[in-house]
Amino acid sequence: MVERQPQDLLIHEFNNLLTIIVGFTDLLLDDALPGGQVSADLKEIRAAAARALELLPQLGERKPPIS
Amino acid sequence: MPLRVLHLEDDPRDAQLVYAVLSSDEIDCEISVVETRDGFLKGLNGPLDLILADDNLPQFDGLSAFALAGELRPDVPFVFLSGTIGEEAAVDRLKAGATDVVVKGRMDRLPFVARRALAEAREKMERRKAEEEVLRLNADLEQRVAERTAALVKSERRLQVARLEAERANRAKSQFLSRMSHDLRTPLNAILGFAQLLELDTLSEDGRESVGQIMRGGGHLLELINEVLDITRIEAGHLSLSLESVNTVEAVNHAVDLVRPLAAQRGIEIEVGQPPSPDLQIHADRSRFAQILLNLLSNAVKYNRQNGRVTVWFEPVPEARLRVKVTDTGAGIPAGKLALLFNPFERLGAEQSDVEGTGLGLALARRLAEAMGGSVGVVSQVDRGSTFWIELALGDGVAATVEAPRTAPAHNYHETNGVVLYVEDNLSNVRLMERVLMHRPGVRLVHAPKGEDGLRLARDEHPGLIFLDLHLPDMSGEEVLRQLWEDPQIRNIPVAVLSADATPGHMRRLLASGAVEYLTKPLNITRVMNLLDERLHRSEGL
Repeated sequence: MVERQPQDLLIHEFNNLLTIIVGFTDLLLDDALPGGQVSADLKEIRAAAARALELLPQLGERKPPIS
Repeated sequence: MPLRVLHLEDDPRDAQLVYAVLSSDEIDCEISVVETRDGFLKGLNGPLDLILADDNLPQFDGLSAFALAGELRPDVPFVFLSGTIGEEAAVDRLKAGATDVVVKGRMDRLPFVARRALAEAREKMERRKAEEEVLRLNADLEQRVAERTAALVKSERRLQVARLEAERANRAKSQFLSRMSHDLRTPLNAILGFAQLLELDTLSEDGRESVGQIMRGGGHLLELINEVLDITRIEAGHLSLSLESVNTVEAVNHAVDLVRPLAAQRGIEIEVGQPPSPDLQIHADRSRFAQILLNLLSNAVKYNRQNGRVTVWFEPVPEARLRVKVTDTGAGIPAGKLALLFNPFERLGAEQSDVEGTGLGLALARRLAEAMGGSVGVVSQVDRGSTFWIELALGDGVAATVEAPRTAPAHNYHETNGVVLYVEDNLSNVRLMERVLMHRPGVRLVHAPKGEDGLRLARDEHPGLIFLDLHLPDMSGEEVLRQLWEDPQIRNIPVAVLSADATPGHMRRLLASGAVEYLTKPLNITRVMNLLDERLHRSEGL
């Protein structure tokens, strides 16, 4: 088995946690009144978690920084 | 092998005599007799062990022959044979390098001279061989040195490649860390901020449970990020610590108070043993010591059995040191796994149990303790439980007592009125603040995306409170703070700074330069609302 780098493990863990956040947010959104304040807050959380999930693959990139 | 002799002689009788003398002494020889320069030259080209030369010849002479031989065959012994030669002339020839001078009347010396010449020639040959061997060995040695040098150059190159590789890995690592701490924190702040707001709303029990899961997930993410950054700081030697005498019992009681609710959920009792003295001091960084205690205590609760027990002990150890021990009644850890506990990332990627844990906490605790000149260790018994301890030097000064956390005075939020300026370039943070202020309808929010706009709006709107982010696109938060301070019109407006990377030194500097509060991201919503109530209530009353 190829040994995994600590940062890969971290990214894996981040991914798990963000997936949990997205999951519970979606669950709450299903029950929230559409157009209401709770729904708006949940959408903020949903969007932020999605942004973070998008960042994860870049986080693990092994390229030297572009100067 | 016969002795090969070149004999320069015009008188055949003399030549015969030489042969006879040598043979009679059982010297096996082959003599080639020449009498002219050409003949002599020819003879020099052949295989040769000894040259005998008459001094006086009609067409040639011994001295010229000697010069020629010296030039062409310096390796062959040269003996003058002369009928009449004075002592002086003989000495001259010997000085010039002749092997010997034999007077024809004393031919009986010839075998001796020949033998000696031969021995010398052999010796010379052996010396030459030895010299050649030395040269060969030298060449060999040089070759080996060259080979070794080449190998060294090669391994030097390999080292350089490895160094470059390590530098590249380091760059990748710091890139990873900076992205992690900056890029990832921004959405995380939004997640935690809005989740806190949802907690304030009245939701169903299921709803509250789901929000709790979101908060825990986000909190765990934040904890991971902070722990990784701390470990990296320690490894790079960049961790700043302020070591002082800390009241140990107070610090332990404070940490126990924080863990008690978690323990109560699982019916676990926490007991603090009797300290050797109530004002027992330890030499530590106050907040890092608290962090380690909290880690050990929360582990003792998390990995305990239902209705178990956690005990905290104080144990003085030699050389003026103290151990604070935390004992649990959990499942214990097999001996083979004890060392792994302090490896960072040990629990990451492993099958998750129902107990959360970052896997970095203990690794960080050990590194922090070491950075403070102490240590962290464990003893464990399977099925009985574990004892984790932190050991540090005893403090020598007077322990400063911890300030009691400020409790906000109770205000009626309807009395909280006025304008709040928020200087922040990140829109998701602004939306969060707008949402927070919905809980304070009397407050109007003014937003400035840059430092310059912020200063202008501060003069125009004269807000009752400014929230100032430290990372702005046009100038640093410190610079905004300085310019605010220089303008007498606006210098009295209270400023609360907000930042994701709060080090104690940074906080102290900012508070010293006039900030009333330092808020870390993710924002603690309750603290923000308390601050609003406190400041805007007061300003209205003025």
